[in-house]
Amino acid sequence: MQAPLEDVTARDARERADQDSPLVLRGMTVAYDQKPAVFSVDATFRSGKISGIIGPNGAGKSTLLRAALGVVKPLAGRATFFGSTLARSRNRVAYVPQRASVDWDFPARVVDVVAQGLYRRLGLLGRFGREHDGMVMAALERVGMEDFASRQIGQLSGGQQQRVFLARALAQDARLYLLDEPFAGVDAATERAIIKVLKALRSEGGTVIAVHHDLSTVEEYFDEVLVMNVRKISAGPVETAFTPEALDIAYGGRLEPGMRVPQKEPA
Amino acid sequence: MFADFFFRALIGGIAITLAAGPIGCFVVWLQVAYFGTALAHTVLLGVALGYLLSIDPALAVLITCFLFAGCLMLLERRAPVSLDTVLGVLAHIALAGGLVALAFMEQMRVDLLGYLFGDILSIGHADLWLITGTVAVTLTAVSWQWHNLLAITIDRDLAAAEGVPVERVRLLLIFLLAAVIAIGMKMVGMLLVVALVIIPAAAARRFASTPEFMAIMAAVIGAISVGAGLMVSLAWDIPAGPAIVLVSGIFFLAGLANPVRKVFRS
Repeated sequence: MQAPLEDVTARDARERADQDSPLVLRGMTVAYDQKPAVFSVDATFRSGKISGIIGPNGAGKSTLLRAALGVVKPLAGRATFFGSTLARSRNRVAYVPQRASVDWDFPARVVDVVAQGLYRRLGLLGRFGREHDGMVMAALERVGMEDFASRQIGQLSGGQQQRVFLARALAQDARLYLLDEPFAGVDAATERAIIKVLKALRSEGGTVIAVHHDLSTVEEYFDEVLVMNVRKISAGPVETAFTPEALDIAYGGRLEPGMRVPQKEPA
Repeated sequence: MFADFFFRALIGGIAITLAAGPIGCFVVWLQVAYFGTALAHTVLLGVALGYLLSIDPALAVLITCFLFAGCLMLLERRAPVSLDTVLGVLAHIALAGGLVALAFMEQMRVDLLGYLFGDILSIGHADLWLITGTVAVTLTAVSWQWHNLLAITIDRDLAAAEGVPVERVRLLLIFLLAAVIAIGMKMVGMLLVVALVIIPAAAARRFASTPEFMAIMAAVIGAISVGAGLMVSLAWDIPAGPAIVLVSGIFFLAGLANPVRKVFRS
C-alpha cells in the first residue's frame, strides 16, 4: 500500500536522499592502536557535486576515505555506495590514491598503468581489445598526458604520475570518483588540469569526492564540504558549511599562517 | 662427453631459474628481499627436521620454509617490535637451532658445506622431480594471479580499494618465494640462494620495458647463467653455485652500462 505524501516523515526523507546518494557514511569509526582517527562520522554526499573533505593534518580525512573503500577496516560504521555495498557498486566507483608513485624498478609504460585499471572489468577470460586501447588513450588525452603514453611511468614527475592515475580512474568510466589529496605536491599546471577534469566530470553528471587541505582554494573548487577533525564538524554546501566558526573548531583556533579564513563577500 | 649428473644439474638448474625469474621480479618490485634472506636461514632446521621425521630432506626444507613464511606473514600484521628486528631475530634463531639440532644427530654425517654453498652436481632423480613439480606449480600460480600481483605492485591501497584480496595475494607470493628458496638452496646453497632470485630480475630490468617482458628476461638470464656457470665450473674446476651467481652478476653489470632511460624514451 502506498503511503500518502503527508505521512512522509523527516526520517523517510533522509532515507530517500540516502538511496539517491553515491556515498553514505553512517557512524564511521576507525582507530589505530586504540587511538580513534575517525570517530562516528555520518555523511551523505550528494550526486553530481564536487565535495571536499576538509580538515587539518591528522584529522582522519584520508582514513575516512580509505575506510569507506575497505582499504582499512573500520571499527564501526558502514559505507553505502549507490544504496548498496561497495562490492556490488565497484564498476561505478573509481579511486585515485594519495601520491601514488611507481618505483623506477617497475617497468611499465604509462599506457600499461592506465590499462591495468580496466582488467577487473574484463574478468578472468576477457580479452584486451582495440576498444580498450581507445578508452586508455581517451583517458590520457583528458588529463593532457597523451604524449607520454609510451614513457616509463617511473620516469615521470610526481604531478605527471598523479595525472596518469587520474587517467586510470577515468578509463574506468565510473559514476563516483574518490580522490585522496589530488592537489598535494603537484605543480600548478597539473592542479589546473586536474580541476578542469573534475569540473567536466561534474557536468557529465558524475560525483567527485576529494580529500583536500588547501583552504584558499576550497570555495573555488568545491560545491559541498565535510569539515572534520576526527569528528564531523560541519557538512553541506560551501556557503553554509565552510564557515570561520567551523574552521575554528576544526583547527582548534590555530590556523597556520597563510591559510585564509573565508570571508563572506557581499553578493 | 658429459656425465648424467651434469645433465641433471643443467636441467634442474634451468628449471629453478624459470621460477626464480618471475618471482624475483616481484621480490625486486615489492622490495621484500629480506623475506627471502630470512627464509633461507631456516634451511638447516628443515634438514634436521627431515632426519628426525625420516622424510626426504629436500621436502622437509620445503615444508619448513612454508611454515616459517606463514609465521612471518602473521608477524608482519601484528609485529610487537619492528618487522626488521623480528625477522633478524627469528631468522638467526632458526639458523642456530638448525645447527644445534644437527650437532645432536651424531650418527648422521651432514654435508654442512653442501647446504651452505649448494651442490648442484648432486641433484638426483628424486630432486629433479621435486624441482620440476615445484616449478610447475609456481609458474601456474604466478600466471593465474598475474593481474592481482601487478595490481598490488602498482599500488597496494588502490588494489585493496578495487577489491583485490591484497593480504591473500601477498601470502601467495611469500609462499611461492619460500618454494623457490627451498629448491634453489640445493643448487647454490642457503648463503647464495637469494642472489639467484634477485640478481637475474635486477639485471633484466635494464633490458625490459614491460613487466611481462622483465619476468621472461629474468628467467632467460637465469637460465643462461646456469648453463654458462656450469661450463665455467667444469672447465676451471671451480664450485658451480658461486660460478652461476657470478655469471648472473656479469649480466647485472652489463645492464648497468645499458642506458635504459634513453632507450625507452619515445
